[in-house]
Amino acid sequence: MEKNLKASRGKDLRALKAQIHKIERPKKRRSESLTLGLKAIDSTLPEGGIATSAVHEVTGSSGNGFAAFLAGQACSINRPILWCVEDDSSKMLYGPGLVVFGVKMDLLIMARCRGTDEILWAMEEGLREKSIGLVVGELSKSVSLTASRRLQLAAEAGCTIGLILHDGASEEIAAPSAVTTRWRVDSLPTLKSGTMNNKTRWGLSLCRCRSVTKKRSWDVEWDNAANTLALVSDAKCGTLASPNQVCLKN
Amino acid sequence: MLSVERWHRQTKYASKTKKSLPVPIVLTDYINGVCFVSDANHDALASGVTPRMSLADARALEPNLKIVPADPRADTSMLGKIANWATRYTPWVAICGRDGLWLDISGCAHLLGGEEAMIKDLTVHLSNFGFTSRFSIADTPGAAWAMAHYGGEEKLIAPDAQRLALASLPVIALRIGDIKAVELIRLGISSIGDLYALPRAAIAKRFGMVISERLDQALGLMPEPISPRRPLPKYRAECSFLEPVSRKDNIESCLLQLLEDICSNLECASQGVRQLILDLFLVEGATKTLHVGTVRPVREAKCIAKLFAEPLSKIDSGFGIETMILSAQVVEPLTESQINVLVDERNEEIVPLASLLDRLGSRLNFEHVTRLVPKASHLPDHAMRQVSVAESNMHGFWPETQIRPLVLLDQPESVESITGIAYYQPPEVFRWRQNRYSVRATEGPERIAPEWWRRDRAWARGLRDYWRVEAEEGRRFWLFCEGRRDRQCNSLRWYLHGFFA
Repeated sequence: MEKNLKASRGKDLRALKAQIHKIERPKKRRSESLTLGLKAIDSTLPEGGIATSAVHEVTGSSGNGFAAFLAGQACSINRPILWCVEDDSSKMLYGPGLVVFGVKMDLLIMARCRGTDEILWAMEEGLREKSIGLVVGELSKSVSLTASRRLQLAAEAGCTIGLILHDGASEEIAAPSAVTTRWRVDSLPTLKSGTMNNKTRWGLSLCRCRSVTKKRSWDVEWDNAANTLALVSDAKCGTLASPNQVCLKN
Repeated sequence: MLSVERWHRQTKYASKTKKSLPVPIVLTDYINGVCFVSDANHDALASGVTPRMSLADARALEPNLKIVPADPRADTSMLGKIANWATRYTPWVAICGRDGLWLDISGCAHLLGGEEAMIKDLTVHLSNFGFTSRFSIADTPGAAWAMAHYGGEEKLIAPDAQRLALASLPVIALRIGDIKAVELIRLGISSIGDLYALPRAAIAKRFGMVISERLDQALGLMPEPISPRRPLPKYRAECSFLEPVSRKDNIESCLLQLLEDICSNLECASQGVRQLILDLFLVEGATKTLHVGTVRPVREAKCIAKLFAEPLSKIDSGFGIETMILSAQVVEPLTESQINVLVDERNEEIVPLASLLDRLGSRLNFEHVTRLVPKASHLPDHAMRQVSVAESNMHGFWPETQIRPLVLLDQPESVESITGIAYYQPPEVFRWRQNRYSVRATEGPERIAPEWWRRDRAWARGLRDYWRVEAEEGRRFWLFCEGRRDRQCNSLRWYLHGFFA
């Protein structure tokens, strides 16, 4: 009697386990990533770069610049990019400014959506498409846990990278979300000397990443001429000159 | 009668009042400041009120008139709705005047059991919607119009019998206008039959070509084309239900059936479809129209069905759908492709994306799914345009030597300088959108002059000096200075046009 009960319980358990196994997401077979081209950052990230099959969130004043840089990286491996923006916004992404980040314009598709819901829908559609490399969505605020979870699942289905851009406030950043990593990118002053050199400097900080316990930040510089991202050794650049001295006088 | 009945339908007036009591209703409109009767119902007509009578006269005839202001726009849209509904009988429907419809039923009547059965079906439906209708079927539009408006009991004119049928009708039935008709009657020519005998040259000399033209058109001696409201589809599939259908999965499976019909026809003709229209005819008489487009010609029924899924989910089918008509509006040649053997080099990257672009385009509109394309212009706001992905790939070169911002404002925004304005250097501290920025470094100027061949009001104030400006905390702006300063005036202003990464 006892034995029978045990056997049937074991059977039930096995059936349950099989059921759960079915529901569970299959493990990622291989981890791919989009490399930033900077060893210091790439080695910190568990996937060796911005992980595919994942959604990332970027905030800060230069979030779109960082997205443009990643788009350039995706173009270098010939993957198309879907960039979703709100339709009624008064500003637009400017082609000549994107080109310097190495974005190939025939690989870039802009989707102008009406409202957040359509942006999220368009992102999800894009993420499910296997041939797409990167999906960028410019939102006015951070997405909810449910929405980010949906995007995450879509990215896993399509092995693509999703990027949520928004300039959210700090309390929003602390809100729960299913994104894999969270970055903050702020523009930093570039120069030591008077005029602006043809470089773009960002303060890059990794606010959240699985398996990276401590918040990390780097100062990086994009060289328009050389098309490379480089680490800036000194965190604060030299002495600050007063504007009077800096300005070019003609 | 259409206007009054439209008003009835909208206000549900008939259901509220007792049917037995006659309620004379007139719709009134102002012509040159005088209030006229524009339309009247049966009860009002019975008491002697006619359209185009002044309201004062009408009131003298019938003191109990109920007066409602006319709404010509609502009448037009109602007629449009009826015309849409009538496409279930034939794709060739046109609006005629303020209250009429042309239906070209060549080759359609037998599908509905002959002309008589079709007419019966049409009038029963229209009277169910609450509209009185008069109709006629003839070889020519002119004869049909005359019989419908002025004819007696006999409404179906046999082929080539219009000469006899029209003979007894008044001349106004020829659509020649009131003035000409009155003149003809004054000469003793009251019926169309009287015109047959008269020499054409004399009529033309006296009245112009209109009368003989109309007569020839009515008799079929001269063609009178009717233009359909919507371009006639190349391929069309239809499905009518015995019982109204309202369940989503039924509608979808039916749609798939229609799509498969059309796609198999397309395959025979080596064509693919770019634009499809699905008309849903609801029981209560409304018509819902769904448009779907693709970036390249397709003929896979399942792929197209996916595009319809989103708009279909928004449709409220009410009491059910009676008929579904699917028409392929735009078709393009699509040859059979050999899969995985030869890759079409030109469209190499677009093909795997095409289904995604179709889905995005069908929900967001194809104008909103774009590529950025360079344009040869020095002016930053003209150097780029957004081209729909549905259009063919446009190529050009992006300027790489110039330094341009990542984000450009549609309209340059004025910045307020706190430290004074000079043309040779940007403000040291400026205010934009209530934020204060102190400038840390600048680079410039880059002088851009307006292009004389382009008339652009934004550039009307002459050349601009563009500067790259870096604020203290690191944001990089693209400012420009516009205007001039001399002894008389100082119109220098600084504007913000873009942001660098």
